[in-house]
Amino acid sequence: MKRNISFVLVIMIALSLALTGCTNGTPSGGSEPASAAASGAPGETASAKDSLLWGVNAEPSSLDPSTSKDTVTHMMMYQIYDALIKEDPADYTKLVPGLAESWEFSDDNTQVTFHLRKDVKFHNGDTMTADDVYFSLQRSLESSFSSGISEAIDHFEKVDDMTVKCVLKYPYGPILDVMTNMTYGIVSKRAVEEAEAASVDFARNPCGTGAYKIVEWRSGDALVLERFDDYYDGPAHIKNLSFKLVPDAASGAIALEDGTLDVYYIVAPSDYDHLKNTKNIAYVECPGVGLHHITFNVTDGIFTDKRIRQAVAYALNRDDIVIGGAEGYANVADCLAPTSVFGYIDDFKWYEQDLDKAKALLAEAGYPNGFDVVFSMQGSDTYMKPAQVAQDQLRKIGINVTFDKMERAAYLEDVGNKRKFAASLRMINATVRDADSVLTRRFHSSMLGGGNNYSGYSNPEVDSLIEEARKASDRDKRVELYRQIYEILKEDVPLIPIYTDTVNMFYNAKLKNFYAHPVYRYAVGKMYFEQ
Amino acid sequence: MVKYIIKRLFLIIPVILGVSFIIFSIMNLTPGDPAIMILGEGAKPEQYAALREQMGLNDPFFIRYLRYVLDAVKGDFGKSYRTNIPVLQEIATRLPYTLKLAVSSELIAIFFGLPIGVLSAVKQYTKTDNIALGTSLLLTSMPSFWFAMMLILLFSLKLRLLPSLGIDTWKHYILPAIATSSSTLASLIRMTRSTMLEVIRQDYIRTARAKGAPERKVVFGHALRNALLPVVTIIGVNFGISLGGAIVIEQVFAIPGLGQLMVNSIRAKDTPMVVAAVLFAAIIASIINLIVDIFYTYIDPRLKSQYTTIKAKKVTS
Repeated sequence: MKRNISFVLVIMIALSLALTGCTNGTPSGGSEPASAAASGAPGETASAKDSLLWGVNAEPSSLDPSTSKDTVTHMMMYQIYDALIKEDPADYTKLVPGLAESWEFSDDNTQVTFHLRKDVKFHNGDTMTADDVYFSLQRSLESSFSSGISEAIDHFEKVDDMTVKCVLKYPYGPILDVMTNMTYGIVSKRAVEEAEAASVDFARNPCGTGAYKIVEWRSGDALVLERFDDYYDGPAHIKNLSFKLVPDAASGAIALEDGTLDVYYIVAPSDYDHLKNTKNIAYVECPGVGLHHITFNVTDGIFTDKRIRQAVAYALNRDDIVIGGAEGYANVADCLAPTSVFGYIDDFKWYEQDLDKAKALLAEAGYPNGFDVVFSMQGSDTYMKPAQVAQDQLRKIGINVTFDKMERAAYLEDVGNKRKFAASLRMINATVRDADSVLTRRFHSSMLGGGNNYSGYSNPEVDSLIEEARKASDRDKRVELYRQIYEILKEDVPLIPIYTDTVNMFYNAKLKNFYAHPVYRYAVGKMYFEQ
Repeated sequence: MVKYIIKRLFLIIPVILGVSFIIFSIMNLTPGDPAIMILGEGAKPEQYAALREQMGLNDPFFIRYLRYVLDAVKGDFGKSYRTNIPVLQEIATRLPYTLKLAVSSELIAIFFGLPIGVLSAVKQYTKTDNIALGTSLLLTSMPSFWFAMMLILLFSLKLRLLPSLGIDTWKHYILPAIATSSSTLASLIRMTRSTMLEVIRQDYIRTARAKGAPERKVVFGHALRNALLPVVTIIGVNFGISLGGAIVIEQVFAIPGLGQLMVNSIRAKDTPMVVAAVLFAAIIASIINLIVDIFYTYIDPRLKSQYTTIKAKKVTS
């Protein structure tokens, strides 16, 4: 009997040891700011606080501006780095000085000269000079990660200690928007060189001029930041900022609701309605810069016939796809550009659903009874939900769609690299908020063969119109040129535009100065918690 | 006994080699190019080609595997494609969280599973037995991620008793440990019950009762000890399953453990990280199995005598 009791005792002791073992702070050595916030019991957020816990669905890929390009990473980097130009936090359409106090264009619009702000400090205490700025910009330009936004830039030059010049290959209207991108965030030259010399990874030990500096990056757990007191625009109100990895969107939404998280990136559309009606949660909303679309392979397979592509365009009811695919939180796009960017034309109209015309076109193409086809897809809901609605609509004209669902890695290789696909529903983000960003990458011949022109579409007329529109300085003329491009693309249908999502961010209602932004550039330095 | 343990430890080597080869092959066979994953869409073909060359991805499969094994023998498991951190360092950071979760969930399962299983057997066909069996059926039928979400909704959102995610205090481990333990707990209840029922009908139990031993001593002293053998097996096997089950639970509770690392690495085609993570999980599972085998000898004197008999025979010869 004694032995039995001791057996139970051993188990109990082991259990309590295991649990007390868990209490020894954060095993990875982290403690202070993030832990303080993370360990806060639900409900603790009710009191005023100076720690902000921001849930994110993915870790940063790299905190080096020259080796990162994904949205979630840039959202975090926006707190650590500044670019030469930034957007007014309260109005993202307004460009305001960042690390450049002012800038001017040369007469032929092929050069932009930036006059730098004085007395800007890096997190390591150094004062920013033109050497740092030139070093950062040129380094990012030469990196493969800046492709997609840097095509117009030839090189950068240092003019004097406080002046830097950007030399363009041709006049390029959206260049100022490009310079707000975190890819062109300014790093400390000395910090990068010291990191290299000591074989330390700068991407995990960043040094910028931003409102927050890094404390630690706990792999798989959290990126812990702290207010930078010498920030040129005044120190942040909130002292501690942590980006906590919460991969599961449902868990993120619950943690937001129970007060564990103050912000979560990014809530699933199916939770929008519920969170909008939750008392302690506020939200901001604005159109995003993505364009959901169907891409056809126009050089191989059944969709090489234009009439079949037009039949698909006539078969779709895109209003229904918005409801089924994005829970209604999106705007139907009629041009082949996101609805929120310059160059989107409100009065341009895409095909309206007309099943008779669709069937007639199919019959003309030799498929009166339709056909079976496989859509190559990434498996996430973002793509599958709208694709399933489209699948149902296409069945009505006899096109039986089945899906080949793939992991992202396989998709990028098969559809992106090898172009082994017939059609796919996917999304493109306008990395620069201008129609040129999408049109160049998806339709220009220079993007064939390894670029972003996955459909294989090549039309010299479209090429020259894209180039002309890109270089034109008159905005009305640019819009007119884009209209011509949209007309040609509507006739040829290499892609079918579907919708642009709205960007909804949900956060603790006590957090103030939280403004909507289409690509998640939130100035946390200006935010504060209400007492 | 020591010899046996050493022999078993050596047997782990072919297991490691086999596992590493299988995982390496699977990662190689699945579509997707790590260089494309790193550079993303929009980079130029020559940039991909340069990165592939730099990463050594252009070499034939067997050369790459051999290079991996030779480096691994020297303790160099490479660097993550995704984060550029040494793989070993990353695993050392992540492993403790997963182990903590697996151990605490096993303890919960043992702590509740054994007594409930015994009670259920002793009170066969009563209301208690039915409730215990019903509970175990429910626990084993529920997908762990769903059970986890239900726990969060109840204890975090409604009752506000426990945190819904994180790893900072012991409180953060309660819900994930319960969620992970559910299937082990269910199988422990059923296994303990059925083996107890078998043992409890044996002659020596009747003898114990006949000689007037108190019921508690009969159940715990005579019956349970003999019923423990298959139960211990279940615990050992389930520990491995707990390590695997952690993949889902770690996602739900945002625990930066080995499971989460594996999921993210598989998605990113981060071969060095995936191979090493699976290897370490395999090593832990092998060691746990060894411990279970050793534990048998303490529970069952017949097995212990086998070792000593072999030893004695060898000495006499």
